[in-house]
Amino acid sequence: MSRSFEEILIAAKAGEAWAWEDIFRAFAPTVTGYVALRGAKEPEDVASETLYQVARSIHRFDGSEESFRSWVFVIAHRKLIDARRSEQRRVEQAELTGDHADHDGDAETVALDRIALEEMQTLLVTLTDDQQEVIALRLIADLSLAETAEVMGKNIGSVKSLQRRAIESLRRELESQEVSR
Amino acid sequence: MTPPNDYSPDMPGPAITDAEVEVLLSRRVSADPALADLVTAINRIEISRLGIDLEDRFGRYSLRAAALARTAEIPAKPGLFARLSPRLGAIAMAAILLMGMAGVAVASDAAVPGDILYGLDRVLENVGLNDGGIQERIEEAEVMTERGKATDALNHVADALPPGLNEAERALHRAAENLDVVSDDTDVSGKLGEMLDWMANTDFEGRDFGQGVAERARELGGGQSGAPPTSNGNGEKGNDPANQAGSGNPPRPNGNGNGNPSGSSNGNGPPGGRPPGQDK
Repeated sequence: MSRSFEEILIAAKAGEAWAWEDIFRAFAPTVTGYVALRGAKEPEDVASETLYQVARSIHRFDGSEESFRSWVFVIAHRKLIDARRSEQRRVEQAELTGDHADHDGDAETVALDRIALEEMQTLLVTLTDDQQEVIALRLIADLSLAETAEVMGKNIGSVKSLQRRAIESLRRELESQEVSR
Repeated sequence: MTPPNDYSPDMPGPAITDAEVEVLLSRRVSADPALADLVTAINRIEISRLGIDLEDRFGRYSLRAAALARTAEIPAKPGLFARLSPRLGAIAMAAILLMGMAGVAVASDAAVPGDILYGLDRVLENVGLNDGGIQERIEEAEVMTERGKATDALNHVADALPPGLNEAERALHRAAENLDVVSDDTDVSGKLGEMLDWMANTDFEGRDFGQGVAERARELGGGQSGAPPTSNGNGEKGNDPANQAGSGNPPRPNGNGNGNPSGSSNGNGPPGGRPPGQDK
């Protein structure tokens, strides 16, 4: 964001479109990547819902630029959970009605860097949910250690432990894959 | 497939240090050859490319978000009495009431978002002099619906839900968005009124309450179909739960009675934190 955060926040609260475009440009890619890596079927929808919720709640936010970033991903995390529940309901409904139409294949979703994300997802599947979360927030959302701790509702020490265990688990998984080749 | 595993101190190989982990996660490099594949996968994800397909939507998204921000409820800032200690604030408010301002307090209690006295109403709620909580918000939403502000009513109730009812909150907001594109539906007010009535009178609580809200909101917003839950809190099948003798209590608001926006625990966003990816 080229302007200062304070200028953008004031303008965003005033409903200035340019401020929201700045916010979208700054956050849409990382939020989309984060929810995509965490398995959202429609990551762009989840990302847009996240940012719309940010817009609805903007007047409740009063903090630094540092707080804002964490706040956005707290909302993204909750929207991700909502999306998972909705997806589960769609699956259940499809099973009841026999509707098994493929709802994927949206051109915009295909245009995402799917291959790289799928490679990451394949690697992360061996981790616990919390470990996957910390990796996604650190690598995709590009959050700092402190920001990640805030989003996950944990202290920094716990996050350090989680990320260390995650990397060690990934290393063991990669080593075992190498041995089996 | 290797099941989810966790760190085991008995595993061979040198343990990775926190510093090495930090370098990997922040700079995406590692001197450990065993992590080469991981580093490669990480660096193949070009975050900037994830925005390509959103580019043509930025303009539309930003206009929509700007409109949402303009119409979003502005929380009442703590007034004089809220800045005083609780004891002094109560004494000061009592003095004003004795001076004949009681009528103003009563009038403000009936105010809804958009009314001149609504800000005072929220201030008085903060010091415990007017009713608050989700029941109050539901009543306000009912008034807003009667005034033809169905979209605002849905968002108002969504923002006041107790923490943890994310599905319900999402469904209500989606219903509000969908109403924006519905040019005319005379049945909307009726359906919304029914939902609000159910919310005000149901014995469901917690997750069951949230599920019931979400189901009704989806019907309202033209989303996923599905009948409202027909089971009470004990999972028994039956008639409309609103007519059943439930075993729970009316939905409880959160501790401050004001409801929280999703994403914040105190109404002001998470404390601390840092900004959008510039520095780490």
